[in-house]
Amino acid sequence: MCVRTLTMAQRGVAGSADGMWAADRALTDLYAAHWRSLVRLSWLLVRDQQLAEETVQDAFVAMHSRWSQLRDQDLALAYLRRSVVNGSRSVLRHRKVQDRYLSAETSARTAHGSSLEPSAEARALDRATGERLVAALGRLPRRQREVLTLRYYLDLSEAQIADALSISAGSVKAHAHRGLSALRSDVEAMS
Amino acid sequence: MNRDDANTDDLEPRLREVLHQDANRIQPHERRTEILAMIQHEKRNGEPARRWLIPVSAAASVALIGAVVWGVSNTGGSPRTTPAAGSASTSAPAGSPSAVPRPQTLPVPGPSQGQTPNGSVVATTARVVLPAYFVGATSQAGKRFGLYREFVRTVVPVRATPAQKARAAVAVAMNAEPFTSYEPYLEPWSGTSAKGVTVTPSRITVTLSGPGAPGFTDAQTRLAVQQLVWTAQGAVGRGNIPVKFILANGSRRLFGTYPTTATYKRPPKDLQYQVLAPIWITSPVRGQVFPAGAPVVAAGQSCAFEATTQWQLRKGRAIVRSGFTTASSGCPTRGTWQVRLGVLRAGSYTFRMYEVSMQDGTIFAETSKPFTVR
Repeated sequence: MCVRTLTMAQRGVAGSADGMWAADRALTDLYAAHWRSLVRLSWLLVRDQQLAEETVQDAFVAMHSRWSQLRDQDLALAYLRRSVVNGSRSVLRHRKVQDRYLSAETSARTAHGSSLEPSAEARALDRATGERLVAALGRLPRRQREVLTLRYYLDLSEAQIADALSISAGSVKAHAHRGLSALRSDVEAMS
Repeated sequence: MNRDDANTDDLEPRLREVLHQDANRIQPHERRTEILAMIQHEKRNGEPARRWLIPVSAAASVALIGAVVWGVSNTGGSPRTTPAAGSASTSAPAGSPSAVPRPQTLPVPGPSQGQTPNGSVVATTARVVLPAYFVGATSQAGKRFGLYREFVRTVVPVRATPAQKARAAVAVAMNAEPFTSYEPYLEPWSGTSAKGVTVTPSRITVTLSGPGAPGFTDAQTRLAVQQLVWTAQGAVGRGNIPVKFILANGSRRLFGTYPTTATYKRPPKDLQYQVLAPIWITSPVRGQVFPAGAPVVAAGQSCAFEATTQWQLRKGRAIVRSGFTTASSGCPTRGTWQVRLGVLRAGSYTFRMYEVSMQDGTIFAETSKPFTVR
């Protein structure tokens, strides 16, 4: 019978005041440091702010409940990334948000329309080029889009992306190459 | 370097820049309270708190949907005026496990169940926690008023639409009576009920039975209208979309003053100090119980001169601790604050936060929350 001998001990730690305190502490620290970037990561994938916030919220709750297995903030952050990517993917699957992706781009609104006012920096950006690039990214296959978003938004390494997507580092490299090639072709075709 | 490589070299920094600028177009709302509420639910019930109800497996012989949908509160937990993840909260320790803001418990019916044709049992209503706003005095002098937010547990249909949640939240907000024995809340909607709410992408329409109760000042009725605007928008969770009112009794003005031909929104952020009470205590919530031996952290929002407010920890009439705190922003921007009270002996306490007027030394604003350590 395959029994993880640490499980009970870990549960004991998790159930103790110290364990709870550590989980709460990790939650607070990780929330303060990563809530915004993770919501924005999810938003880049699902294009719906409310769904993105809900996805990341669920990820934090799940992380807290699994703290006894994680017990390390780096591991917890990696877990959060995996949860957010998986949760965003699930949202896309169940809610068919893909259809909204491009329309959201063109109409420049989401469920939180008022919070989508372009910043001064965004206004200064070459909007036409940027929107073309974002639209082209949205047309990529899901996996390529995820790899490029994790790589260029969160600046994750190949190993970190592989962990977040549960794929090999080689696959990350391949998806990134294909995605960039497709993006380049797409943007050039429109220019 | 071939042509592809050259283009890729150009593309990558552009993609990085575009993604960051694109992502920065949204401002994530604070959801710490909702996360803590869901965690607290899991601890109490030993099961995950689900925001949306998972489709029931067809193979399940008894499909009793997990009807407690705490997370729904997040749809409305967002309309805070200032992100709370500022420097003040970043460096603060976590609250103890039980230091989780809990929704106010009001006498509401529990989730109800129905039976499907094949005999499976499904829940037809779900308990949710929704934010509701109330008009209350901002100090004991009772001269000024502002909106306070409460997270209130209520019941909505399973898979409730934003409109159904909004109607439930508006109904809760219009009934301040359960709070009036311990909070300085007014009842401007006494005798008025919420008949219905409809939601479109560009408008929330709230149908009320009448124009509101008589006898309130203009300042109070203005807040009463804002109270429903904030509550409805919070439950719908789509930002500051206009709210229109329809009065079922044929009246054309709320409180005889505010025309139903107009639509109403929250004021812009730099003017929200005119609507929201200057000080909110979001933790502890009223009557919260902390375990002895665990540190207690008070937290909240304020819009105070130089971001500075003072606090007292009272045990009975005795002031056991006191100090001042600086919020993440000063008025007119609403900031967040935290006060680490440390480990407290068992007993009943009241945490009081107040702002002293720089002009005359009087109490300009104050609020307090009782809690227990045991």
